[in-house]
Amino acid sequence: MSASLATRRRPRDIVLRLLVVTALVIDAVVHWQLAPGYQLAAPAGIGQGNLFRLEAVAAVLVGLYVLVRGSRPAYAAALLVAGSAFIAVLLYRYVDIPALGPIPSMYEPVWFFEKALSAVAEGLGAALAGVGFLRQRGSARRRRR
Amino acid sequence: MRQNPKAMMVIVAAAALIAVSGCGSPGTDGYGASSSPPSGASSSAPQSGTATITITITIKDFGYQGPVSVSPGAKITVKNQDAQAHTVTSDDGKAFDAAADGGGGTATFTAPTTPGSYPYHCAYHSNMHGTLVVK
Repeated sequence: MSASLATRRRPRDIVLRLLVVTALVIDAVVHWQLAPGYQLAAPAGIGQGNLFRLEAVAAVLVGLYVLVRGSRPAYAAALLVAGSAFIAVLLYRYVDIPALGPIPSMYEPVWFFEKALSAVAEGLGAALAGVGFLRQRGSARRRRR
Repeated sequence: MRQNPKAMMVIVAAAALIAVSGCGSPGTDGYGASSSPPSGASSSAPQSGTATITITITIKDFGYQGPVSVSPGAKITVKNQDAQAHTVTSDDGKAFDAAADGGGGTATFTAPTTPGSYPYHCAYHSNMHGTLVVK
């Protein structure tokens, strides 16, 4: 059994993996549920609802990747998906960004339960994915020595 | 013909009074033909059947700003100041439903004729809520 595989099977790493997957699932469910209304409200370009659906699909696929593999690339992908969603929700909450090419204007200067829940999940998911990525990198370094 | 100075003075004073009273601008007495109640104020239906009141619900920053109470059957205008489209949809789905496009879009609807409290929401953004009281 390789050192990297052994690292991934430690209880602490399994918990970390499950927490990242949970965060991605929350992100996916909230975006999928909100998508129909937001598509009608902001249909310009690709449409806000379709962007939400893309985010949800990406979160599910990356969540499965982390669940099955728990590897460095998997955590990197989770960091990318959760981190970009977290930055986007904060940006569009506080900055009135106009439409940019196919991306419609999505400024929404309010918080509500689903949005806050998704933002917290994205932030924690990104942070934990970063931890997982660093742990996997550390084990890879130890393996090379 | 001999003129009475006192009578002339009375006539001149009366004419001056009439002229001064006619200088007021129309609509300044509260509900003129083109006047609107202040935004967010409670509004009532046209009084004595001669005046038209514009009742407006303004949507801004994903929130409703408008009259708390209106008269039965009042005409209500929805002004959307957000970039995204919004609706004013009664929670029962029957009383009223008006959609206003983003970027300054407007819509109108008629308030229910039955007095009561009518909660409403945005069909696109489920976190947006308001209540219209008809009395």
